[in-house]
Amino acid sequence: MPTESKDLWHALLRSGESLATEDDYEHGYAGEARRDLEQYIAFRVARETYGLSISQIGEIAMQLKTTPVPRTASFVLGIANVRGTVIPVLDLAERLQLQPSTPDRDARVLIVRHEGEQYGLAVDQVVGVVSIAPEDLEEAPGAIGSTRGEFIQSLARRDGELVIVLDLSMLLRPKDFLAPLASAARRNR
Amino acid sequence: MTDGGRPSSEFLSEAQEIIESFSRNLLALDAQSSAPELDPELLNSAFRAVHTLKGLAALFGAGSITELSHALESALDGLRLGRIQVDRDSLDVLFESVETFQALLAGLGRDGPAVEIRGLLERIGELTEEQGHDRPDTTLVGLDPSVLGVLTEYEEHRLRETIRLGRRLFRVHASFSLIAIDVGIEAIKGKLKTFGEVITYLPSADASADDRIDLDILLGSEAELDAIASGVAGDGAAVFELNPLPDSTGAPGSKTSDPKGKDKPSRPSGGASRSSGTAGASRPAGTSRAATADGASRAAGAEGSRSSSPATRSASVEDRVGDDTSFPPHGGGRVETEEGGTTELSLRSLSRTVRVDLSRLDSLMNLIGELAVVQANFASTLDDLRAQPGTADVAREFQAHLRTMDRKLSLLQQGVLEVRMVPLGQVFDKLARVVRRLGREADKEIRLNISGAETELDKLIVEELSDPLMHMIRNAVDHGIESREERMSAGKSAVGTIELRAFQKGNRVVIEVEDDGRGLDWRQIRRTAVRRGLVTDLESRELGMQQVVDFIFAPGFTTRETATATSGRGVGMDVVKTNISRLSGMIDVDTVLGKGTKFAITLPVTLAIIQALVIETAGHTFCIPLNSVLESIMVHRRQIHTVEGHEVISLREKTLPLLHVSRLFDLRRPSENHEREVEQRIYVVIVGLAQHKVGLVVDELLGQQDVVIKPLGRALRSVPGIAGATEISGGRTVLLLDVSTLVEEALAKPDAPPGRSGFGRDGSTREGSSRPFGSEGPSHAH
Repeated sequence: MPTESKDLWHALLRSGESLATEDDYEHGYAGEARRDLEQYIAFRVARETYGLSISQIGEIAMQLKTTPVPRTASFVLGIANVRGTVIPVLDLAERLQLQPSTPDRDARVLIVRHEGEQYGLAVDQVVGVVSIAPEDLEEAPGAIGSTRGEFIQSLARRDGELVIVLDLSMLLRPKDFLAPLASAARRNR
Repeated sequence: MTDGGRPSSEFLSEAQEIIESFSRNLLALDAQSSAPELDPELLNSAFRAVHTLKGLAALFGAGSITELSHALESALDGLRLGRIQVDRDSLDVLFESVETFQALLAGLGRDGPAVEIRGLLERIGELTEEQGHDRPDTTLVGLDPSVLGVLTEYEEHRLRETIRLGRRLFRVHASFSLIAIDVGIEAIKGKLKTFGEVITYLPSADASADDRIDLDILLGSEAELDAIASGVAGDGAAVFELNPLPDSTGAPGSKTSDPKGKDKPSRPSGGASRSSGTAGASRPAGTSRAATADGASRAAGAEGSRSSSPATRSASVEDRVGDDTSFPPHGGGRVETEEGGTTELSLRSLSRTVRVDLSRLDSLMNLIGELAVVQANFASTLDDLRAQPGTADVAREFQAHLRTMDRKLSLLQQGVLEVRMVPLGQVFDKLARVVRRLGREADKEIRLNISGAETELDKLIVEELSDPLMHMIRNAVDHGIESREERMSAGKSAVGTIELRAFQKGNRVVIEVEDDGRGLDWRQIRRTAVRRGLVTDLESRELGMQQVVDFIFAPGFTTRETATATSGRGVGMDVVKTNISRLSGMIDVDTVLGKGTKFAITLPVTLAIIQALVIETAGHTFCIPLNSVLESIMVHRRQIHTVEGHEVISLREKTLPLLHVSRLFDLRRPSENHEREVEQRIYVVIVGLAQHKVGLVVDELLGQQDVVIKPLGRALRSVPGIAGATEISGGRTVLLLDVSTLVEEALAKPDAPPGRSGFGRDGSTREGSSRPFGSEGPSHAH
């Protein structure tokens, strides 16, 4: 969609990523070429910046129409139909136990691929593509909050901003999707 | 397998087919093993199957499969040459190979312990080494030694067999022009096959002209000389009867009544098998009786109708074997040489079939489903169009096109559905092997009667069925069929019978597994149920027989005190039930103590596209599979009664519990402002699950629709009560209810009406619900 690519373009500009200019194409790209830089999509959830490897992301969609699914955990917004495939959509703020904000025009759904299936992750805003060198990644410190820590793969500092790289395999652990048992009791009251 | 990386799916499916055809041959052989004569074509087919598999496996670098098929090939060669006896022991080894092949195939491309084949290879080796000890020594006399010299070992074996079985031997001399020789040979062989077995054909020494080739065909047959002669009269062939049997004088033990067989129409008596003597080759070839084609024509009618039995039998076997395998039917007649013929067969695939990955069909199905949605959108556009003034003509034309599209679309859908259909025979063949093996392990003689193997079901359903059916067959062998002594003393035949039947009934398929064993003792089941605390003693007394019998589907239920290797550990029937209901099927039991038990599984023909009832409740839309809906009714609130706090209605003198879908799922209307006023009339959708009926209370019935079921994926697959999702008109994605789970859940509630408590409960997670579903913002108290 044109709007998205424009978004990304602006985001790239904002994030200060150097872009090849026409001159570069003519006379060769002068910028430093590092091959080990990995590209991440940076996005915001509850005013924090998170990142996922660009290889994990299939596309970025505008808000998807979701159908709620009963008996699922609170972070499951429901299912959405993306070109014929039904995928679960998660509220990432709720999943990370952050303060959810009301979705506005910037809100997007990242469609990620994980173990052969697709999932939608609702985020507040997509910041753009950032390149991170391996040496700038630090292992997740054990205790950032109690539960949130397990979703964090690593941390990266970029232009003074902290990018939290998420661990999809923990984030999308199937057993968490079902509603917790405790609610059964509440329901019967 | 460690060698060769991931096996191609092409290899897997082809190897699977070959192994299945091999297994069918073995089952047919097993059925014939006590008969005096085996159909040689069965052993040949089995041999060819293994030979082809060997080549295929070697091509794909599947080492163990190559090794096993190589060993097996030698053994089968010995079997078809008569060097190894076809008996229970040799068949056991062959059947074991089928299982091992399948284990090897399943293990391909997967990490894990390698399948051990050493033991099996040793047993095959033992089998192969035995050969030669028991060699039949029928001496072939009366045949030109030059002819004998060029026969292959197999042909010689068949020749001996023909003589052993007391069949007549004929030499058919035919002359072909070089140009049309291939057609000519096929034609004459086709005719000769109706009389018996073509053992070999050899170029004749006395060729008459340069542009012609004369052939001598050796034919073993029970037919009369005249009949054969008139049968091939049109081909200008001459038929001679040979008598290779030794003279009775020189052959002790030979009982041939008239070795010369000259003018006697009666065939040599059946006892003429193993004449063991070495009587001299006094009789030159082809002396006995000759009838040229023209001379024999008068005898045409008399014998022509009597076709020999081996031909008819092998034809019927080919019908079964040749249907979907890559082996061409053998009726066309191919040279049965030792090496050449088999190689030729393995290279050619005559079947006009295409193997398609099921996921490709799924995506086609998805497309069709989306087209149906587009079409529904067209229909609503048409309504909009009609609302405009002055568009009547366009609208009419639009509607006509729409109707055509509708028809074509359903044809397309039907077509794709049919492609997914496979016959149940695939599964039934596996089960036949299981019965054979289990029967031998349990030392019970069991006859398995299969009918309706051609009944077709969606490939996915057939795959999912094999485990449940396996459990049921095991139960029948282990619990159902009694020991030989027990059966005798009960006045039954010592041989137990299991009937495996499949048939189509409307748009559903019924599969029945029926044994003539001891039946279920419902009193014992009731005692066990009480002992296990599934019901109280008091409650149990109110239960009818059918309700008691249903306890066998409860998890962990067994009346056996000790487990056997095959069953009795209490896992089985609950798994069966779960699997069947996952396929939106039902299972019923019918049993008579001392007489037997019948399980009947009813299944939809396909799961890819189903008819669904679209309903709305608390502002949410759901689909209910129409095949579980019995009827939809409108009920006045006055008609609802409560029994021990549970809402029920009376329908045709029966009490029906009510379930509110909105309560089951903790549904809230999306907006609280539009709280629906309490309607005096409510809609109740009556759904049935085996014997259980329940009324689902909903707000609106929105209509019926064909829907394509889409899976929910790993994360949401196990949400209880939800079977999948689907797209309905208007592009909306809605959830499909899993009726069987909902009904069971309702019946399994601890506070359910008496007589049902504890039954069918499988896991506590079924009860979960975290939050008011569909509400906006923080949750509201009830």
